Amino acid sequence: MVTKRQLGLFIVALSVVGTLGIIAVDALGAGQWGGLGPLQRLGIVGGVLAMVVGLALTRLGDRPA
Amino acid sequence: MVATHDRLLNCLATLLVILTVLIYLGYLVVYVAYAVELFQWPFDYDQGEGFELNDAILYGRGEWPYRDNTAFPFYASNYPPVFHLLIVPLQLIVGQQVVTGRLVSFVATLITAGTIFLVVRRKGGGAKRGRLGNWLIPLISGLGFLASNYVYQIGPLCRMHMTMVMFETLAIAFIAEFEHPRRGGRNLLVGLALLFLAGYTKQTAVFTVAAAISYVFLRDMRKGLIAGVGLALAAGSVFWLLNMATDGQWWVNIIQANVNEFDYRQTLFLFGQWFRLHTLFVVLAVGTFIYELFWDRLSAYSLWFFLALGVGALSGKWGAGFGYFSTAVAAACVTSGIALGKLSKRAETSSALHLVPRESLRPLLAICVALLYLVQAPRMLHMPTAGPVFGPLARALGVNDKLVYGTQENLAPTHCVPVAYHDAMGYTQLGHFLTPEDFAAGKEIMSQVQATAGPVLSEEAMFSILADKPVVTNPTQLLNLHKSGLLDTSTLVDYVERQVFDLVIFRAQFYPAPVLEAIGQSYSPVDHVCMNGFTYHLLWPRRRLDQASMSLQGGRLR
Repeated sequence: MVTKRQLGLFIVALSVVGTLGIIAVDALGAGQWGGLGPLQRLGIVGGVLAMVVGLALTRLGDRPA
Repeated sequence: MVATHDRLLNCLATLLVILTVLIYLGYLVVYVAYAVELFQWPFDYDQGEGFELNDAILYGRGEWPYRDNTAFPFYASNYPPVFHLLIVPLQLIVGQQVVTGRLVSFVATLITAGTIFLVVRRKGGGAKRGRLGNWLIPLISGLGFLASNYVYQIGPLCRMHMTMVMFETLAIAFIAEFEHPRRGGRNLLVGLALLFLAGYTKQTAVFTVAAAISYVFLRDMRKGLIAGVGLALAAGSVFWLLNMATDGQWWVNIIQANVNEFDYRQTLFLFGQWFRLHTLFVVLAVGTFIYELFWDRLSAYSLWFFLALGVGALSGKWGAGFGYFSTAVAAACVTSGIALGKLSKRAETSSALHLVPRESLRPLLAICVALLYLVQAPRMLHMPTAGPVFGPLARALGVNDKLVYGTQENLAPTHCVPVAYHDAMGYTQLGHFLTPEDFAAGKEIMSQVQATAGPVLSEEAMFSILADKPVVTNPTQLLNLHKSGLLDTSTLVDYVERQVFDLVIFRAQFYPAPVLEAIGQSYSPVDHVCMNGFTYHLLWPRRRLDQASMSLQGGRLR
């Protein structure tokens, strides 16, 4: 059984990887920083929100997810 | 005094409940009427229906529809096989008619609605007779699914979306009970089998698969891993076998051809539209997910709803549309129904509400629930605006001149005639009834098809199928592959330049540019026919025109 803390940690990890990946796509892709497009901005906002949710879940301890 | 007050409350509750049921049953009547209309229409109503039927025809002959698009007839399917295989037995009875696929899809929506009813009744219902959760909320949850503009429009089409949603809904219903003390093992296996069928109906079921496996994993990590690995092995093995059997064309047509351009604005627009049309169901489902995430345990249904939004996120893909939200609609209906049932049950037993006399509590709850559904109902309004029944009703509701293509004075540019249909969505190409003029136009086009000796290059497949000719090209498939640099159009262009096809029928002209250029140089328009609100352009090869010495009459619109 997965706990809320474990689920929260998973969500935080996923959102960190996802957010960094969105930024890295532009930074590493063509070697030139072209700025973040609207889709990427949406993705980053989503990633940050998910991180907040994940952190909140980690505070809920061993309750079953 | 108190008795009078209770009688009034009961009376009001009864009236509102009856009104609610009548309105949602009214949507069911409109849906069935639309389905019956489509069952009688022999041609493509939505572009793509004929290709789904063609896939079933090929399976019936023991042939794969996953083929080399560079060789005649330049045709391949871009969808997995389950929906087409379900049509094959019906073809033995009815013949090669598009109604076979429409019947399968329509029945699938009824099964889905029935499943939603049963699940909401079981999970959100009360043990006591007469509880709202026992019948009203489950009934409206099921009818609400059929009342959805999206489900209405694509439910009776020969397309696979709703069959996928049926398998998904059934799968989640079984997976949700995988911890049952006696039947848990069976429920898990049946659920996994249904997920397999959903995925091999339409690829977007992968989100439901993720939801189901995640739910099992959250509750029992070992079973989740075994279920996930088992399903992946089964699905992967079949995937590999299909790819081997079709010399790699399965991978090209099912996966590579579906990687299209993405427009995030289309996604945002559709999310907004979906929310506007299904507000009550979505708000309750979102609320349930948030509540269960933080204060309770995540249920299979709310997890399914959350991940179904992932399918909606893909709706910005070229060729996608509101159909990508059909899973989310089903998930929202079932999750919201369970939530409302539980809320009602909790309200009846809550100590805080002991301040309200018991005799007044039940009718008050019924009034609240009915009012919620009544507020939701007009948001999904869709109905014909002509005819002896719908005409006066449309005038009474003030929508008789709010037509999806506009009126004759302000007709949308892509259409040749208004259609007598109103939809709260605004513009949509589906949902309207057909007219005698449409049937006459179809016959006219068919007469031109049947007057040809050789194959016909038609953007819609039913003209070829009904004339017993091979279906040549799946245009959007060719266009997608060409855009991805995966299609060599030289052979098809050669066929066009040699004027092999006696007739070309265009509607939207979704062909690769080289093909369109070749057609432009080798074919000339001879007629334009207005059918089903669209202009169909009929083109002859120049050699045929020379032979017939036919003079164009300015391409007049019939």
